[in-house]
Amino acid sequence: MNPTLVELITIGLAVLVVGVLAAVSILVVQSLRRPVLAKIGLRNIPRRPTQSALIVIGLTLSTVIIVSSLSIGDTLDYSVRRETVAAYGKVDEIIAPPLISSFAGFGRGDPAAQQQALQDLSAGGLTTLLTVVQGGLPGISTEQYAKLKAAAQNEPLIDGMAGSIMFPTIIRNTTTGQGVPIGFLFAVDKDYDTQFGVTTTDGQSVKMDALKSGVGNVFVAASDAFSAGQRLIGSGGISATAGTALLAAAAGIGAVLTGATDVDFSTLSLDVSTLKQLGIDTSPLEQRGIYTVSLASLGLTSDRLRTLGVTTDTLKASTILSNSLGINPAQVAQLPNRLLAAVNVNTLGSQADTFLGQYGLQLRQGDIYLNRLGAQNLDARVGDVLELFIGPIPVPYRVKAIVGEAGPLGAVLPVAMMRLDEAQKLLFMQGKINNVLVSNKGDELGGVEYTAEVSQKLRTLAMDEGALNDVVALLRRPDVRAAITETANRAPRPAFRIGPQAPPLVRSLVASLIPADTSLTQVKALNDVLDQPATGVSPAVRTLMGDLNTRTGLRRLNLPTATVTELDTALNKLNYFDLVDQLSKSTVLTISDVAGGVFSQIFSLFGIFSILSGILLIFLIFVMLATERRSEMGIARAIGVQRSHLVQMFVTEGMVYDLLAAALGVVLGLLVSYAMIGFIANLFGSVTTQLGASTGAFQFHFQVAPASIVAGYCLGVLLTYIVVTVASWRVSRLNIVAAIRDLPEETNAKRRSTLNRVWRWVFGPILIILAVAWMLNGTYTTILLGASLLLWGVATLSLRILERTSMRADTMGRIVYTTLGLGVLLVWAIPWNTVTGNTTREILQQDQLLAVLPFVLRGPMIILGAIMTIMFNADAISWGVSRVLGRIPSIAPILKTAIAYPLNARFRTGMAMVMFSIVISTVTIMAMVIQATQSLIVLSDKTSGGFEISTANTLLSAFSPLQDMEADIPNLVAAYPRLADIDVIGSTATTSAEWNEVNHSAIIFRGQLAAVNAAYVTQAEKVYPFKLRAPGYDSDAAVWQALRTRDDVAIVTPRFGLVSVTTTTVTLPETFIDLSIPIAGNALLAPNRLDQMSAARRFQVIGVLADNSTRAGGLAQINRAALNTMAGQTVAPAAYYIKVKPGADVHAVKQELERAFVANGISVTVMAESFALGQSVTRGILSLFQGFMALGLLVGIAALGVITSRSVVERRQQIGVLRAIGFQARMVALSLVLEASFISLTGLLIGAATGILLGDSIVRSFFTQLSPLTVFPVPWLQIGAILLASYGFALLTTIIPAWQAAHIYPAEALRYE
Amino acid sequence: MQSAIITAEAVHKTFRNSQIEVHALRGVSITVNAGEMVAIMGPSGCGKTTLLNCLSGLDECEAGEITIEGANLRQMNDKTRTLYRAQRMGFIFQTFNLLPVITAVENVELPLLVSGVKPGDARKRALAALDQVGLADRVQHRPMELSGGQRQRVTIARSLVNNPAIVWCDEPTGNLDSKTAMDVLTLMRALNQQRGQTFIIVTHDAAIGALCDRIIHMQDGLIVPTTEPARIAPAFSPAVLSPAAPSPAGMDGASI
Repeated sequence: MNPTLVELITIGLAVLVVGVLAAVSILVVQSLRRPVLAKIGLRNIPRRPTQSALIVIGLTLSTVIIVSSLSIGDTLDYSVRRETVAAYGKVDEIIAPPLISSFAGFGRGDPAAQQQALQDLSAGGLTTLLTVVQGGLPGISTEQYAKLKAAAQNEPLIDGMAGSIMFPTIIRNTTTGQGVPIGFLFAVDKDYDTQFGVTTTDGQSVKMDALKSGVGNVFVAASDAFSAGQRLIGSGGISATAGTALLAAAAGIGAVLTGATDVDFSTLSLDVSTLKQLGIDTSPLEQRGIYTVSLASLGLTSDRLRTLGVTTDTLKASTILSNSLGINPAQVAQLPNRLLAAVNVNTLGSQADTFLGQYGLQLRQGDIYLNRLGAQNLDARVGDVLELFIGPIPVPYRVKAIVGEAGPLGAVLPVAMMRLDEAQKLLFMQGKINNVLVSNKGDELGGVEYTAEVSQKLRTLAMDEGALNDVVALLRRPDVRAAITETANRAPRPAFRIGPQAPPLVRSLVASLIPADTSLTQVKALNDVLDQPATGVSPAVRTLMGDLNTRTGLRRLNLPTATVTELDTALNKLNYFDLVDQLSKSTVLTISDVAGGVFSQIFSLFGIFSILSGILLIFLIFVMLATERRSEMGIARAIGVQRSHLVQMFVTEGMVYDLLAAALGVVLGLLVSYAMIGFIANLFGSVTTQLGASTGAFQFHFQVAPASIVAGYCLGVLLTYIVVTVASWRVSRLNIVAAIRDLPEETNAKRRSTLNRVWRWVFGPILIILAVAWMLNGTYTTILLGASLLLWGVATLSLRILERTSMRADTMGRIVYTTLGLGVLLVWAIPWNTVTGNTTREILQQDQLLAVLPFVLRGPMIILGAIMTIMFNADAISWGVSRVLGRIPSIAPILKTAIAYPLNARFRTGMAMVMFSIVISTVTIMAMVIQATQSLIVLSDKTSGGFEISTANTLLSAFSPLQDMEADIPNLVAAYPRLADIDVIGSTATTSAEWNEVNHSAIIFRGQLAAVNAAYVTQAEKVYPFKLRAPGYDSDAAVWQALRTRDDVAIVTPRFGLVSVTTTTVTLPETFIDLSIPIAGNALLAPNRLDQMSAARRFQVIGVLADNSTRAGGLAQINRAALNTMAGQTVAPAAYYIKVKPGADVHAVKQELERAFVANGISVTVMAESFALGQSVTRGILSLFQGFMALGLLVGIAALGVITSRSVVERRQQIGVLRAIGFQARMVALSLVLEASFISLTGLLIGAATGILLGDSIVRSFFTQLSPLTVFPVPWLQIGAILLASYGFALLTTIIPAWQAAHIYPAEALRYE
Repeated sequence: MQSAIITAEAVHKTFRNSQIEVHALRGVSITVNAGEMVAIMGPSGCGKTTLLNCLSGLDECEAGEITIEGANLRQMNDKTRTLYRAQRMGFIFQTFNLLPVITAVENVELPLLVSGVKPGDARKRALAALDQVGLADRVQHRPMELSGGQRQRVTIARSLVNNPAIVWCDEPTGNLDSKTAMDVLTLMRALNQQRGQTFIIVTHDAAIGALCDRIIHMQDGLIVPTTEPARIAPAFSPAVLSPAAPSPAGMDGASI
């Protein structure tokens, strides 16, 4: 078993905790052994409390970021879990017949089978659907279910089981007119409510038995009988008493279909009380004194009928059916689907209602429970009448109550819960169910952990006895038996076995360390027990055969193909149901865990730069601490303190800061994430408000797992610990004399070993060779990385060579590092793809890494290059600045010290600048992206194609594809008056296609093909210009006109990839393409039989569009007639685009369209609304990320505060000197502020520049329609505000130490050492 | 008769922290004449440096009067006092106290820049001052790159570049070997004689005392009776200040 996510987390957490404990223990032991060192280290903490506090705050940041990422993940995870559990209730596993599980597993299982299933569903219309219903779906018979249930009662891990039917449906609320294109019917009986304990939203128990039965298939049959009767009576010419006669007929046929095989209508007599029970309002009958309904009581005597040409014989139900519908009486069993296929029940349903209504009669409406999401989406309340579409037939039901839990699909879709017996009638599934819901021991969440075990048990229980015997017999056949033995002998003997009783942690560890081929070991186990006893099936064999791993192993046996097929077929029959793992609660919870994890990972990823800055800050703090104490350390070393002791001193001190900082970080991190969750919740809230009540508002529940807090704390502690240890180790390597005398560290050239000297010389060349090898690899990423390595190698080598000359060290450094810095800057900053054009773009396209490259590497590299260049030339810059500003006498001395100090500590200054730059660059990038989403993604006519409303097909459109909306509208206007406001209806049918250019027939391209109608062309003509036109087409209009009328021309987008046309060609040469449509491209969306497509057709490409994306989509566009010709039939459009008349209410038209075409399962969208919604969500989430990244700014600002306050401490004596020689207090303060400004402003400006550069390229790669020359607005104002605010806050942190420094008495400062 | 440039009357200074109180100066009164070179000597902890700090305005005393060039130092606010220091005083410390991050010439020109001298002029005067102390070829070196004697010369150049009335020296040769110390002292004495600047030198070194016009002895925060130095060393001659005189190569320990 692979370790589950939870176990992995447990392992990770354990490692972290052990790590922290180990680190602390080591320190404690060391401190006990050498208490004096610990004491020295610890004494530094209270010495300067303010600084210690500042250090703690500085160290806090990484923990804050980690904890907030984790707790945001937890909150999302928990919120999703809560919603999931709320919908699933106690259901843990779902058992379904094989077909459903193949649907559920779509995308995972056998592609061919899936394709077949999809085609079955999509291609055949209603008849095939019903075939599927009859043949595929019923799956589990009541007997099988009863057997399973009885067996399960002995299983301690299973505490509940209920049979159910789940079926996709369109639901429409007749009260409000609101419809949903896809929902589910979920039918259960009292087993469900008794064992699974469901309640309604107002806290009442759900009782399935309390739901009134609806018409079931009686309604359907009645409608059909009405139709049949209508024809019958129409032929007879009676009409006066037709209503009552038909009522009887309807009831009679209902009786036929619900029970009796045949009924003679002439003898049919129904008690009015029966009709009453069926839910029919019989008061009009009673008022007329009719208590028994029969043809006679209705005045239709045999004689009367005979005069109408109706004989008694023809009144037999089967005869009626046979005569009117052409059904062989023997086929009565198949009657319902034939009936459905034969009549247009869609309109009939409402006619029947109308008709019955004239007599004050109403067909009974049963009750259903509706799930919360359904209630929201349908705007439904208790008492509303919903129509559930069974295939194309709407069946009315009244909402009895709204429930929270409505089976496994309730979390994601509208679900109507109905009585099981009712659904069995509706769906012609008498005595059958298509799902078994299983509840494990334990509560809603606790049961999940038994899912694997219970699934295994259930599989074993659900094996068909006969099929099992067949399989075992086959396995014992000598040829198969030999193959089993052979495979068993190959199975490796595991070094050791871990029993199921072992703790999960151990099992996970073992499983992750020693991955075992379970299928092989299972075959081996089977080999051991297969022959005992020689006949029959032993419990051991049964258990093994219940395991899917065994079956996998058997399918892999080394056997001839025929035998494999035979075995495969036998194995496939083994179970009369499958466990739908995809729908089990544990799977859904795992997905929600992963989703939460993904979100927290995204945050962590974005936070990585802040964490990086945090690490730099920690490092910086300790390097500065060490610098300050350098002479102390030198003295300590001189009197015999070991280097390791110095490290111990520092680490002890650092650990105290670390432990405190991490604790503070946890608290701050929780506050930050709480605020962010509030933000997200508000965002979703506002989205919900915008959408009205038509969406389910996802509830956020702030939740942090203790494990996350522990993990965040430990990670924070360990991260700091590692950095502190590295920094301490680095500073402990000091030259004693230099440290005591406070001289610069000299190079220890003379003390180098020979190996070291050789290494110093070969390091550069090695880098160069590596770099060249890498660059030859030729992808964009490796070329850039290689170039950087090459620069580094050359720089190292140059340094070695220059060291042998008499050049001054700083000149040497400047030349080499400036070259290196500039080189790196150029390599990474230049957008090579735009500079070099297509050649690079090809390289780019090969490179998967490119997507993450700009974000992960480019920014830091550009910043590094820029800062390196600046730091090694800052004296020149400072000279320049001094020349300009130094002319002002009062500024000159301040400027001199302000620039000299940071330049003297290049490493420290550079790091602080890098910190600022990295954070500001990420914030700037986000600002750019947000700006781009605002200014570039506008709902222009180009995006909408000049239309206002769009429709799309859903899964249920397959039942009744909307063939021609344009033609349907005039007929519907009477019932749906708003449809009169429609002005233009464009439509596109899309399919995948293959093509090649006639002159380049060897090259085959694949892509989407769109077939557009004339109305679409009319709109498109106003919006989309052409880049190139074929000879003979003088204007765009001519091209459009040709597309509108001719079925042998095509237009293409620039991405189409015409081989013969380059971008430099001014006009399109005569280019022909052979276009063909592969079988069943997107069968679901274009549900006609695409597999009947004709052979390829030749099209002339008459225009290349200027834009890649158009409303119709597709790489190429042809007209509808062309596609229909190719397809050999009318292809239903995948989408319609509607433009309403000027002044009409777009939203009202949208709702009217939803109502009018609900049976076609189309979803209707007002483009502007969905666009605005998407925009607001995108912008909100981007802003959230921006805010999160801005957390890193705190790091930079804290760093500056730390640097300034450390500077004051370090330079106390020098400040005294400055004061002594005449620096006024404010000059000292100003000098420190300027120094901090130099660092922060350089960092901020480099960061902003990098951000703008990267933001630009990221935006360009997102919005590929931008050409390199496209200029889009940089959010200068926002970037300026960010810079100003950052600078302002940075100044604030420096002002206090600067002020303190300025007000020290010179004598006091001079005394300080 | 030379006029008094510094007059101190009953100066008191006490250092306090939470536990202890140290009476560093317990009513010190002294007078120093313009152009005088005075050594303040005494055992460690007797209050020499404190006196120098109080007299130069680097620190404040809690009682007593200090008049410098006729102005009452205690009545000056921090700003005026700092300006006064910048324009009329120079400082030489035992630990040199040069700013390590800037070059020799930049260190020297700093007091000029602070006093509002134009940068160009300041640079010229700083170079001249360094030239005067024999460091013309070390002007672009940072303090770390100079020997102790050279650093102290930079300090001297810095203290004199402003042409101050008074130069305060706190153990100016404390970190130097005897030969270098003597070179530095000779230089100071020559400057004192040539420019008539007043030098107040806090020192332990009897040899320095011997070179001064007068020695003020201190003990336990009080002045004890003064003795005159034996004599002024005959080696002093204005020639030492001529640019050609000292060899820069000989700076490190060599005689000027």
